[in-house]
Amino acid sequence: MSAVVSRLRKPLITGSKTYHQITEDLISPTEKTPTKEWVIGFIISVAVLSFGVFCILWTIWVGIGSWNLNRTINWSWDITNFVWWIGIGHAGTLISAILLLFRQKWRTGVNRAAEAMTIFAVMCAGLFPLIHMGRIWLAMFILPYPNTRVHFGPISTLPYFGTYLQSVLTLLFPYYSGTQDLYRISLQ
Amino acid sequence: MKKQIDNIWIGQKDLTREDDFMNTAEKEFAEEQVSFADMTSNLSGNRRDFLKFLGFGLGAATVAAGCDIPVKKAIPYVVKPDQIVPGVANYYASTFVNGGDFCPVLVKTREGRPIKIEGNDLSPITGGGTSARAQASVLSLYDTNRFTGPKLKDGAGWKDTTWVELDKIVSTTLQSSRNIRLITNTNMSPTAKKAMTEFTTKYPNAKVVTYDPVSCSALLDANQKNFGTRAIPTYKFEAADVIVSFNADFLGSWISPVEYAAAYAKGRKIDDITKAKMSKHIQVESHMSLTGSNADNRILVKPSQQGVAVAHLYNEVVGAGVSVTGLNDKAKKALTKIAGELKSTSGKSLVVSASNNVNEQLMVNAINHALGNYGATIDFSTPSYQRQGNDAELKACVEEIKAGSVDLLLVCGANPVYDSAFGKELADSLSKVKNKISFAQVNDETTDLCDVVAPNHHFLESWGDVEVKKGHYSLIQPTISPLFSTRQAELSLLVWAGSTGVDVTKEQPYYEYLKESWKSGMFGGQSEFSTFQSFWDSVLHDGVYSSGSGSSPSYASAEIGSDITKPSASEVEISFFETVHMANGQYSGNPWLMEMADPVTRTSWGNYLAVPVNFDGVRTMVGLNDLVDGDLVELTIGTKKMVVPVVQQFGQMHGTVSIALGYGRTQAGNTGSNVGVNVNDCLTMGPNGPAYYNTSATVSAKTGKEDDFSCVQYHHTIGVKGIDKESGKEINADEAALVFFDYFTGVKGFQGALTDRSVIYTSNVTELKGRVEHLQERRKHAQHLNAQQIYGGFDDMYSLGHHWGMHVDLNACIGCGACTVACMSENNVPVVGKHEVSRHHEMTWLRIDRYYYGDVENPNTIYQPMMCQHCDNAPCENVCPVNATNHSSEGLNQMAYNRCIGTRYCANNCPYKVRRFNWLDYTKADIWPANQPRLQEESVPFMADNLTRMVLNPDVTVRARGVIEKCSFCVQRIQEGKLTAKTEGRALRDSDVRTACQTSCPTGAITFGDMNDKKGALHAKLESPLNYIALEEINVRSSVTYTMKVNNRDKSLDA
Repeated sequence: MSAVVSRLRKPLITGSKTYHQITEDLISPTEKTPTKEWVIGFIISVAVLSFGVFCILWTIWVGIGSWNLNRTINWSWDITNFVWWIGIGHAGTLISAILLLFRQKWRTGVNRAAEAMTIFAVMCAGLFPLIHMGRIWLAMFILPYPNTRVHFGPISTLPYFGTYLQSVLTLLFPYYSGTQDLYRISLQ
Repeated sequence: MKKQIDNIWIGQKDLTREDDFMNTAEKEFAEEQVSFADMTSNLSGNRRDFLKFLGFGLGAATVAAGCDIPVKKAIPYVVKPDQIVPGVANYYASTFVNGGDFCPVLVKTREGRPIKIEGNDLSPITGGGTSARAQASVLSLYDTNRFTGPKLKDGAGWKDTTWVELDKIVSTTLQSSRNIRLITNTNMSPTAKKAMTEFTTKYPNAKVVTYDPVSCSALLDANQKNFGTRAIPTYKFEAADVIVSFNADFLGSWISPVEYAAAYAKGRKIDDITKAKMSKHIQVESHMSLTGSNADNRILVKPSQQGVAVAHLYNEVVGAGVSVTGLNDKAKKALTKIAGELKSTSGKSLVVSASNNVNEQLMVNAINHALGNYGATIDFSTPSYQRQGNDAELKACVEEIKAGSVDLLLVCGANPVYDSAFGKELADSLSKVKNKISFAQVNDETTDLCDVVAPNHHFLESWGDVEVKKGHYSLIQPTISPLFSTRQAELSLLVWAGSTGVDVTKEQPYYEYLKESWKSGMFGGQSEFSTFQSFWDSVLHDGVYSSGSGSSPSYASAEIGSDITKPSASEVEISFFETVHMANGQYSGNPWLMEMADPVTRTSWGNYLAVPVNFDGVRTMVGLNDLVDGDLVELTIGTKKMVVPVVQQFGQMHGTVSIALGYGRTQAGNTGSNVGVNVNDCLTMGPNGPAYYNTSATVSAKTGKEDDFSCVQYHHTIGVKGIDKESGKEINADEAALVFFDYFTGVKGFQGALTDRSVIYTSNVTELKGRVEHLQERRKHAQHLNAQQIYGGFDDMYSLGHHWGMHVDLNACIGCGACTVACMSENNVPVVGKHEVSRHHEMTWLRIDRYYYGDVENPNTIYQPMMCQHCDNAPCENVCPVNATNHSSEGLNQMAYNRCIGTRYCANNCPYKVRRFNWLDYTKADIWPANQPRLQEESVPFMADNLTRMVLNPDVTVRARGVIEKCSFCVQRIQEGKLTAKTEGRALRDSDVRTACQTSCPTGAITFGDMNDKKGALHAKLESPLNYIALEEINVRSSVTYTMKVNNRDKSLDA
């Protein structure tokens, strides 16, 4: 099937590709067996991930004292890192939202990867408010379940709810753009 | 399906597993199930049912997710003793005594075990105050290192034996011994002395040798020469307008610090700012001692110049002509001026010296006599027996041991191998003594070389009496049955002496002996009680008893020899001092005292070499050899080399360094062993006894960095004035030193410069009015700023009911640290160990900040006890995500430990940094197994093993890992006060509730009370114009008020 070429503007995708070819280009990585490089990369990632999981479990087992934080500032890496990852997440959201508003067409080349990266960044960030707690096994106290305490809504619940909100929004962007891709894959 | 636990059933139906029973058993709730139709039809029921489901679901999930609650056993009394009401404390009057350390106390016991020490208000000597050592003494009762029974040496260890066996062995030994020596520290007990006399009568070749870990032998000898009594007079610091102390740390560790501090503070508090009058305190020393830090003026003399300093004052006051070559000029001029002042306040001055040189002490006595102090500020009609050591006798005894002529050595309440001046010689020659018996409670260096241990009771398990001063008695009574198979040392001596006065078949033989002793002694000397039993009951109840005092011997002048401390031309001299918390190693095994930060250097878990520091005129505080805090150096004293960490000490005289005694012990249990360095073998032997300095000291340059520099306060100075190198003018050395660049503006100093915040206010007594006006202005400005709030109208929120607050009088606070240990004792605060303290994880709720101000080279010091300020507009309460910290209706900032999830936002927000986080599992109070670094390789965290746990206060939660804790204004005591008032059917009075820090303070610096009670003590204190609130300008509405520190510094003495 021939590509539809518009007369008014330059083609967005060069190389005279048909829709079918574009679909193939996008979906073929999911169908081929992984390459050696991919497997090595995967193994390294999993190794780093398991080290991360071990560190988190060690923290929960031993206590925040294993982090070498101290007075007078009782946070350092935990909350700073949280803010860093939220910032990374903002970058992805920026691409999806702000660039869309400014009608920057070039974003389409990067927005899938950016949105995927954002999801993971927000997941990473969401870890920190949990693992920096001294008693994470009581993390459910954060939730606004009915209790005898009248006062609720202090400042520091914002990171928890802000992160939750951000993660929801972050998931919405790839959801909308990703349904197309999923449909395409489902056709295969 | 219902889980079935084998062999357990609750009823007949359960046993037979009948169907209808099984159906009902499966249902969680008894009421009928709510149907979906009910839920959707009835709206009001709808919400409730939804909540029921939600609550049940959540609850079930939580319970299912959580672990089984561990089974705890509670065993109630079958026959309850009359006096014990579970939950209500019993107080017994007793006395804390350890050698010459003395403090009458009230012991708080719960369910039959002592948990807290309070002061005994009825004591005319201490007035209810305590010291850090007294507060910590309750912990040493539960020391896991205690001997559990009589022991015999078995290779390098000990093997158990029985008392019967031991008595047999000792009797045979006693029969066959030619020379018997009993070495002991100061013993103030008349009954114990009686027991010893019975022993020495039975064995005429036995002799009692007394020595003190820090010797005052020369003072006693001088008094013997001048007054005929080998005792120490009562020093009346409250009656003295001018106090001159030559190296005597009378507020911290010299002879009777609790008594002296209480008296001293009376002359330092300012009641009326228009007629401000306070005593003048001059300290002549080289290192910054606790007393020196409270002094108005410090005259710096090298340790070897102490002799000529005393001689110079002697010359000036008495008019003699003793040679004073070697005394530095500044000190000479200052002392001349002081002599003039002393002469003009005759009868109202006090000169004391800690020197161990007889001639120097004779000179001091002569000075006091010439000034007419005897009979006025120094009272010999009630001599104190708190030091009885005799260096000459100890020396003779050591010589005898070295010669091998001593067959049997008994060591009672002393550790001469470690803390006497002859420690090394004794250690080498003790093997020559055929038999050695120790009465120690815990293994120590001397006991380790002994053959037999007949462990003594702890004072909390003992009967006894103390005659601290002539005519002033204090009783010791047991507050718990002996925990282990120990026996009172006096009883052992009586048994071995075959005494007829003691009946060993009785249940408490020594108790009977003590009563007999009092019956034949003190009972006869009084007329108030007609029967001995009523007399005894009254004295035992009060804990203290005063009979009349005698007459005062008059001063007889004695010839003063020329052999005084000779000044040395040595480049660096080192002085050794006794710290408030360690003494000379007697308290090394006490974790509370080990962890307590030294009030002056703010270091803990070790002794640090204090090196002088000065301002280089540009921007750095430079220490000796360019050393900074935490550096390791090689210290060489004589031929002994040791590696010690360094701390910069403001006020340390140039050309001198100093280090604390009492560390470097090798046998001090698992807390005190191998902590710090031992300097007891570096003392200089004077003509009479050891002198606590050495002139051949060298300090190397930095050799490394200490791994765990456990200092809890790095910032030292707060607005010290130094001379600027370029301009020669006086500048704020703090600001210049802290700033390394000037923000490209050319102006030095940084934003919110430290000195511009209302942290401390200081004033000289001469300019008090002006400074108070300045203070009031700043307060008005701060209050004006605070009034500009968005949500106003809440200022009267706590005006009904109680509004708890605290007042801290910084003029009375001497920085002794008794309150910090009392707080640890009362509130189950964990001990974390050196490594954790070096990471700033110390858990003490109350800290005493120490700031230097004034001249950077010779500063004044201010101590500021800092606890939770219970801010009415608390920055910590707003930020807790789970609302674990909130404000009570009585103004208390409360902490719900169970709710805290450990986010630490509150600790970050606290401007005073008084919140403490349980970084690791210090207490084993949670569901996780013990998995934390220990103090010294024990298997459970300190205070989690069954013996040490007995010291915990049952009214206070022990916090788990991951929980924030802080001062609670002793809320358990507030509740106890309320309950007592309720039981008695009356309103709660301001004085009913006294916090732990308040009751332990020897000077009465802390006052806790109800700000709404107009007739209360706190309200009266809050009227003073000297009051201010720390960091008032940030509008946190703190409930703690401090006072301006007023000093009586005479600038002319510094010139």
